This record gives sequence, structure tokens and C-alpha cells, in this order.
Amino acid sequence: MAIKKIMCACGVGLGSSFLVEMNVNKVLKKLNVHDIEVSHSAATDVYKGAADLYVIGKDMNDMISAYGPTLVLDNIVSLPELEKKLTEYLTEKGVI
Amino acid sequence: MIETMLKIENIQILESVKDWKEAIHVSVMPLVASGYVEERYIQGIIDNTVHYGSYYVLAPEIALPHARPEQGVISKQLAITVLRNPIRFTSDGYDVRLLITLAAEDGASHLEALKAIAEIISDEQKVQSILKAKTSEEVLTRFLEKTERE
Repeated sequence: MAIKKIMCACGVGLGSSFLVEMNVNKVLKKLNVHDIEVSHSAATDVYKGAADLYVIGKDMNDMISAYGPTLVLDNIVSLPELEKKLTEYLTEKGVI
Repeated sequence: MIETMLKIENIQILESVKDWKEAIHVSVMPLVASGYVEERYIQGIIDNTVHYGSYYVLAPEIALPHARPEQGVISKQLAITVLRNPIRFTSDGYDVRLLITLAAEDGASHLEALKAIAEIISDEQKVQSILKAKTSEEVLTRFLEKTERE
């Protein structure tokens, strides 16, 4: 499945999810991936098909995993953790 | 940008709080007192926490308590609370000593400040220097001083 949209979600969609979005953009740039759209949102605004991958903190997984594939972060602002997990995910999906 | 969102009267250093609800309460109070949020903003964050978990605990030591604009924000602003003794929002969560309370008016106007906060909290040395600050003035200085980076 092609990955066109990544959505970062958190409780209210204003703070944490934006910080994650910034980090996702940094990682994609480093990986030289330019055709994935990244956004941030409140958990309550997530719906099935809204994105091809949801990047979230571990406390959100129960709620969001029903809507599609999730990438779960232990430390939501850790760039190294995100870089490792996102690189593995995109490699596994054949994007990079 | 971030300078206009953080005022000395909204910075406090406290010894300890008894539980996470008190942590939210005290960390929002300066913004209530100075008129940036309505008092219901406190309960808004507590209610959100019950629904979504402690979504604002970002990293070891750091929480960014906030709710939605319609939950009582009057105008955008930050407050900082440094705790000498850490508090946990969940039993398996991080010890938190730095609470950066955010009041956002809408989905966009606070994003520049958040970028600056992201820089600060990703710098462990800077976080430690803020936690060790002895006065509110020192917290403000540490928070606003430019990080030396490559």
C-alpha cells in the first residue's frame, strides 16, 4: 500500500501532535521522501481512511488503532525514536 | 515571538504538589490570575485527561498542559511551573518537574511558540538548567536564551 498521508494525533490536536508533525517532517526530509503529506489532528477528528499511517503516543493506541496502521512512540518528542521507527516502517512498506 | 507569550508573573517555582490534579490546577492558575484563560480551563484539562490520558506529558521531566481554545482560552499565553519534587500523571509515566502550560487561541497562532518550545525541550542540558534555576527571573532567562547549536 502506498503511503501518501501521515497524521499525527494527540488528545486535543494542538500541542503534542504538532511537535510530532515537526519531527516527522524532519525525518522525511532526512530520508529524502517528499511525496508524503503530514498533518496533525485531535484524536476525536481521526476517522478511518483519514491517513495511511497515524503517529501517536502510546496512550492513544487503543483509540486510534481501530482507524488504521499506527506507529506508537514511547517518548512523543524523541526524534531518535521516531527516526528509527519511521525508517523501519517505511522500509518495510517499500517506500524507501 | 515566544517572548510575547511568556511573562515573568506567569513563572513560578514550587516545592511540590499532592497529585496530578493539583499539578494541573497550580500550573494553570497564573494564566487565570492574569486573565489569559477562564477558570474552567483547569477543569477542561482535567476532563480531557480522564478521556484521553495525560496526552501532554511529552518526555521525561516535561509536561505541556493544554486544552482546546473553546475550553476557556481568552488569549494566547504560556506559564511555567518548576516543581522541586516531581509528580507523575500515571503510575508508569515519567517524573515531571517542568510544566509549560499553553493557552492557544486557535489551531495556528501558537505554532511559532511551540516550535521554540520544541527546541528547548529537545535540549536536555537546557531543561536541566531550567530545573536548577533558583528564581523565576532565572527560569525566564534560561528559557529565552538562544541555544548554542551547530
